[in-house]
Amino acid sequence: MSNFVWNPWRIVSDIWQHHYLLGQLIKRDVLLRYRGAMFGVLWMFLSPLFMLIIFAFVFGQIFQARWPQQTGDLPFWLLLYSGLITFNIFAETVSRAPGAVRSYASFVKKIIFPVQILPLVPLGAALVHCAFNFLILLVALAFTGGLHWQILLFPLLLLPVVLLALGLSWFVAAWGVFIKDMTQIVPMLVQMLMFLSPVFYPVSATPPVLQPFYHFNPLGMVIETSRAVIADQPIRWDTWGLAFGLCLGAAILGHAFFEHSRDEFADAL
Amino acid sequence: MHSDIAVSVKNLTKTYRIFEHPGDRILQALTFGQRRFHREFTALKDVSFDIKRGETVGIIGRNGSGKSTLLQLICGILKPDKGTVAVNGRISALLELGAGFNPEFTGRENVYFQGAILGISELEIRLRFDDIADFAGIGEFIDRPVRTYSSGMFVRLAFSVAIHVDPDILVIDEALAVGDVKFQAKCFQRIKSIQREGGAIVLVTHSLEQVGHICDRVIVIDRGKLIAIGGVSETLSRFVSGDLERPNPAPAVFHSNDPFASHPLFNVRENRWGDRAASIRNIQLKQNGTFDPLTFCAGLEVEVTLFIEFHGAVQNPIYGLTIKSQSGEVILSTNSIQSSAVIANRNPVVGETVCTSFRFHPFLDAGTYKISVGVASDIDGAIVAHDRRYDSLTFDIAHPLNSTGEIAMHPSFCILDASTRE
Repeated sequence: MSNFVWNPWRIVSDIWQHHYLLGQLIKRDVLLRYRGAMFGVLWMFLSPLFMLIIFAFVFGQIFQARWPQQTGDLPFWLLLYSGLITFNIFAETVSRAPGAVRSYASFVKKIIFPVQILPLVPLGAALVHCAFNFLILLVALAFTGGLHWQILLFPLLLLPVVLLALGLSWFVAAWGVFIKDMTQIVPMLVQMLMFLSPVFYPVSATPPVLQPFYHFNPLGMVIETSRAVIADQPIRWDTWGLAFGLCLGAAILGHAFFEHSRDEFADAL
Repeated sequence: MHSDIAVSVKNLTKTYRIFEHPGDRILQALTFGQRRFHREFTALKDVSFDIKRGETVGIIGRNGSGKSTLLQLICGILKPDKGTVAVNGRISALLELGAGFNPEFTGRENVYFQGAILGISELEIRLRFDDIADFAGIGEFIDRPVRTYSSGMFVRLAFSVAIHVDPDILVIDEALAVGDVKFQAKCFQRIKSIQREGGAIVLVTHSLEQVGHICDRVIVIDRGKLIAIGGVSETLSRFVSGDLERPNPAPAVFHSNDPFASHPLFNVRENRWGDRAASIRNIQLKQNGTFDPLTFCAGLEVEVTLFIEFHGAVQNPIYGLTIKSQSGEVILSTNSIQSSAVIANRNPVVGETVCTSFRFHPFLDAGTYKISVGVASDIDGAIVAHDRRYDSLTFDIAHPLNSTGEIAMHPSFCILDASTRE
């Protein structure tokens, strides 16, 4: 318990020390998913594109859906898509986190390896996918005439969700080593969280009783602010700042828990 | 830590907590250790030793005695419960062959990735890549997925990476037991060069032959305790004779009046070990009617005669002979059961001296060669060494002809009349 690293800079520099290895791990993780497929890495581009086309068709053409109190003239399917981009970083990382260390058992037990970077691998892969999703979004925005300079702030606005995903990933990865059931439980919880977060609806559409809950859900805050930037609406920096603080705290706690339990990984696996 | 020391282990203790059910670990954590939900198993108890730079140390012991735990602690993969491990330099570990290799990726991609794990930049690996690929000798398979490899290719590539990263400390667990003879010989040579460059090697193996051939010191672990540490000949002899398990072991010497010592070809750097149920009292080399000549002629038959005295009951003894080059490469290795000649091999009587003979033709280039001899027996498939004398004699081959090369092929040359050949 004594030698915890609370200083975020120390955590960052520790990870940076292994950045080449981490980069290789992420590259392998992403490539492995598409290896052997006929279209290969083209799928990184194709799958979000198809998803967006289906969104546009179903919600734009069939349902002609609009959010209640919707501001701006961005079509519903693009708002939905931009919320999903943000949520997917979280979902992909945390759903895969229970196996992040467990599936690398031989790295833990048989080679000298900086185990603390393993939970960053699903995050890195999620960010790579996010980059492609974002590219598709840019193209779609250009197509619908909604492109504007403020969109460059989008990656910055995602920072809290990256930190939150990282913190939970460290936490869940450590639990996943000891309890195999986590690989079943966590993806289910993440699914549930998708409906509890303002991905398919804005916070303003929820009953007023529940709104405080949404205001203190850092995931919800980030989804709302990042959606605002795409819809070219004013950014609530205070909300963003609060989300950043909460998520940074989550990341540091997750790291501390991981470091606390890692000595037992080799025994448990 | 002193700069001569590569690995320093002090009072090392490792206890595993064994949980019957995965949920018990959670219960234990939730009660903050107030209640115990586990059994304890002490894998290693109060082990201390130092390994110097340039030294090769073999760790031997029965299965489950804690050898692998010790290696994992040295590598920092496990955390000790008590005691310390101090390591001076970069460790390259081969604890499990191909750990860290992903079967879906090609050999080349895996080599680069292994480099990344060991903290070596892409550029550095690129510079060494050809050496690594050459050493592994798997040809065009280097660019195919590792899952298509035979186990032999897998082993060769993994080993090749581990020894080409200039480790200060090389840790090997059983890995040398695999691969064909030719590859093993290559590995031994590479290990020798790591030794020469001042790298320390820690080796866990069940092959006492390997320990005898490459180690400087031996550590014996039994039920988690270090029960012996010392020179190879002495420690191995005590280990195989079972002395280490007796309360008052007899001193581990063979015979004080060993006629070998006065043998004209005797090598003072001989490595001798065995359980002393038999001892090789003398050896005679004969060529062309001369006993123990100072130089031998290439190609002419040599007879090696061993005089073995049996001190204990030995069933089905096996007699062996190995010839190595100066650099340690095995040129000939044969024994009485491999030999095609039908031999009347009866069980010797205690106190009897048996005389055996090997014959071979040294088609060898001029130079110095080393002879190892041994007597062992096969007890239900396990080879028990009674007396092994590694590199006990050296002999020189003189070349009758003016040619160079590894092997004496007796070349001849003449000029023919072209018109009669067409």
